Amino acid sequence: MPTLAEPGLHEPCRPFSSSRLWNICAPRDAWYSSSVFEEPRAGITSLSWEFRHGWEGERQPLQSLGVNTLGSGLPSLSERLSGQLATLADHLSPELGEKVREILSLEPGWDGETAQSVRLNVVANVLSLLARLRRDRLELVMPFVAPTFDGGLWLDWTSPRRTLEIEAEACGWSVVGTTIGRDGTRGYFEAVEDAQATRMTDFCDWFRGDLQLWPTA
Amino acid sequence: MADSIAPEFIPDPDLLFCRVHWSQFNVKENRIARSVFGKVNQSVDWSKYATREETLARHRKPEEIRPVASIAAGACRDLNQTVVHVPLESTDPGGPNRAHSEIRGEKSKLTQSRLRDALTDVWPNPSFRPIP
Repeated sequence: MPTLAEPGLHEPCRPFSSSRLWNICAPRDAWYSSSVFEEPRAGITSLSWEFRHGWEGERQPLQSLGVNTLGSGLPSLSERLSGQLATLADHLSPELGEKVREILSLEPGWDGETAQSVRLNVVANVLSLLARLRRDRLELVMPFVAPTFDGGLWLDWTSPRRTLEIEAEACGWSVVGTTIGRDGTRGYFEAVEDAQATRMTDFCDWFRGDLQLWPTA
Repeated sequence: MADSIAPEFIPDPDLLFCRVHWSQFNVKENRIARSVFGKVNQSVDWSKYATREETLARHRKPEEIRPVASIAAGACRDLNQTVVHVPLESTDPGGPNRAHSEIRGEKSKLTQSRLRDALTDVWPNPSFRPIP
């Protein structure tokens, strides 16, 4: 199963000591973000799962979402979150949704060695970024998405003359742009974006040839 | 050990075989994810002692490998990587494997992209089985 951002959140869910367990670190204007909270009540632990759609907040008890917190046979928290993320990806494109489902199904060691499952908070951050890009650039095609060995995600846009590769880092985003000359010569350009990813539309515009951000091959 | 296999120098033109998991291969674009080169010590097989088929067969689930890609040792060295022959004994995890080698070195995202773009060929796995 995919793993959550913080250690200690296992399946089936079990009580926790901190009041705030897990948070998807998304930009402030994120299309989607969620948090998991612990709320001790009458000696038992329950969880709430908060969604924000745009600026409207909505907080619901986890059990009301049909999540298994006590080994009741209902879907576990990470299963439920995985399903939610795949559904969100479907809204961006059915192909992306299918790919996200495939990626979320990868078990630890999927590479035959030591690869980690993709972290759910990374998937959420990537979908949040893509949703924002789609909002700002309606015609933007969705990228190819692939897992990294350390539980991250790699995004790749390709065209005959340019490629754009983006990867979530611990504190932001890594961006690599490549130009491909008529003779096949490649030029490489690199940038680092903070967590807010404010320049990401510029990189997409560069990829589409609409912005002279880096030199042309 | 007396019967251990002595490591050899891998010449620049020699190929290194690298397995690519289905999730890291874009079929539509015939393009490999750079994250294939995401490890500091990236295991590969040296073409002197392995075929692509043998490299494939050594994987725990060969049906999940989409292609086996090749890169020249010299291309790795050009990107500040060290290429070393690390033969595995029968007692080593994944051993025995006389072809086992490693592309060693820190790999920035840019270096990963350049290693991917330096691949010389991509051999499709005939036994690849799409996930249900």
